[in-house]
Amino acid sequence: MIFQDCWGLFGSAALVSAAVFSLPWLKRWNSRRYWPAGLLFVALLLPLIHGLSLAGFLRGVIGDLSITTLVLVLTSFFFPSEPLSEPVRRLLILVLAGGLVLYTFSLGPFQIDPYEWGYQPRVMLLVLAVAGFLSARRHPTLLYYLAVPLLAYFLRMSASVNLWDYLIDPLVFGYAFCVLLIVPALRLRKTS
Amino acid sequence: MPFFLFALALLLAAYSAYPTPPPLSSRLVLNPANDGNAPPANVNTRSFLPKTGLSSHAASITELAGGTIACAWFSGSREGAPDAAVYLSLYRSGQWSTPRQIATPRQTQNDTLRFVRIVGNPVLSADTKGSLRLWYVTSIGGWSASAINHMVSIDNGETWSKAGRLVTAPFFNMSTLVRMPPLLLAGGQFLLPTYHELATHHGEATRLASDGITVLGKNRLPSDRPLLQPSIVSLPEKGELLALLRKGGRAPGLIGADVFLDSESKWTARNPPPIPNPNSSIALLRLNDGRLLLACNPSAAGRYMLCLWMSVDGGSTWREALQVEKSENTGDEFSYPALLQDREGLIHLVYTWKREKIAHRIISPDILQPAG
Repeated sequence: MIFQDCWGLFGSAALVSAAVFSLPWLKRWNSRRYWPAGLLFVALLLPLIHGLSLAGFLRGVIGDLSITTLVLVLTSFFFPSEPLSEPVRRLLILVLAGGLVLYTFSLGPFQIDPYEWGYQPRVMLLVLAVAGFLSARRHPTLLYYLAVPLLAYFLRMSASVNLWDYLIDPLVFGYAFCVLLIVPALRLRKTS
Repeated sequence: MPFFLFALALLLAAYSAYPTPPPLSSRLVLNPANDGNAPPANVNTRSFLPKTGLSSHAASITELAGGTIACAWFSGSREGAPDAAVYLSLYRSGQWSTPRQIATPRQTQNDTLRFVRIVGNPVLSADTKGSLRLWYVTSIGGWSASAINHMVSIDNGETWSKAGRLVTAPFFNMSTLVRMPPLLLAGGQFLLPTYHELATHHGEATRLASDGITVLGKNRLPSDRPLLQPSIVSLPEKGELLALLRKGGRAPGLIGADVFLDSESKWTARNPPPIPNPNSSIALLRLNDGRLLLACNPSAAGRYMLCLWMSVDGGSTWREALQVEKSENTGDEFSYPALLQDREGLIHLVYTWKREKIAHRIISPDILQPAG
């Protein structure tokens, strides 16, 4: 479990450092952000309170990040793009669709629990293959974003053996929900 | 290139996915029967485990390879206090040993490299190789934000491995709890009864690998009302598993019931036994002779009465067999029972006694006669 625990801490520290240095007034520093972001990353991993790092504190609250979240956080840090690139937007559509099914049924008063599907995920993989190939015909870069969590699942980089935990978490689902539904709705309201 | 990489990733992921498991009943490891001698008769004694704090709660009990009985519970200034810890005591030669802290919030935090505020609900089980397993819940806030942790001891509880965190839920891995011991499966796997109480209250049957941490699969136990803390036994003569569940929520109600039919490979709801439950934990045990024993608080008014109920027909009908505790004060609490039948055939019942300490009752099966 040592590798998975370190990986989990790495994810929490990477999330905070990349998020802080992706803020608009810090993003302007471009590649000059890398050193301070690296220092923040290391500082977040240092044991502070009763031997617990700030990354460990955050990890206690949000658990381990999905690989999709990590990939998006790191790519948005190293390759910032405004507005969202089309492959990322399509990835977020898949995340939104998957999250609506997963969270609605897993947390709701239903007899179906889609989270169970992630333990023997051959049907999920089939759905992912169809969705990936169909939506990536014009934007093949999307397939990189889908391939990385699948490879991480093969390598069991996270403590979970459930495919859902590599593909999606509440953070990336919340981000997709805001970007694809909330922001357009607010814009529509503003213009009308 | 991206198409090739994606196809390769899909193939590798499919290759590494765990296969669908074979039917459960073919993999159940039944508890060892007693040595064939009749258990001592007319035994019904009560004693108390050494006191460990102002408040003690949620005991769990198991028998180790040498016949020693192990009991774990959590204790501190109050339930949910950061000073509460999991304690272990061993019963040898009619005496409980001095309790030892085996899991605390600080130790779990250091082991799992993440923030932990409170610990609770320990579950003990001796596995097929003789190791002692401990699952317990930790949380960063209230119990509904809990996750399950696991430790193992190969020297009957003297020393323990580092704690590891189970990943059981999609929403920040929150709100999966444990209360009752697992069924043992072939290959050293476990079928651990768990439950969820964040947005809805429902039981689950979680299948674990032999390391006790890796979750290989889980099934939601069906219910049309809030139910918690499943207690599962196997009914080999019927090819079924039977789960009875604590009623959740504030409204008075009955214990819940689900069965797993191997022929259908799924859990289905069953008519609940007509036993009231005041939103309080229950314990279910299959005796060596096939009878089922249920420890519960059979009153909607509170936890002031603790009884044993018995079923001789695989859980279809139930009768009260023994009143263990009853107080005139309905505010008193005798709750959170845990049951075990040892290798001599004697039944051990441990439970919370007025939240002050853990009581231990030893009962011989002959005095359990279903009332008329």
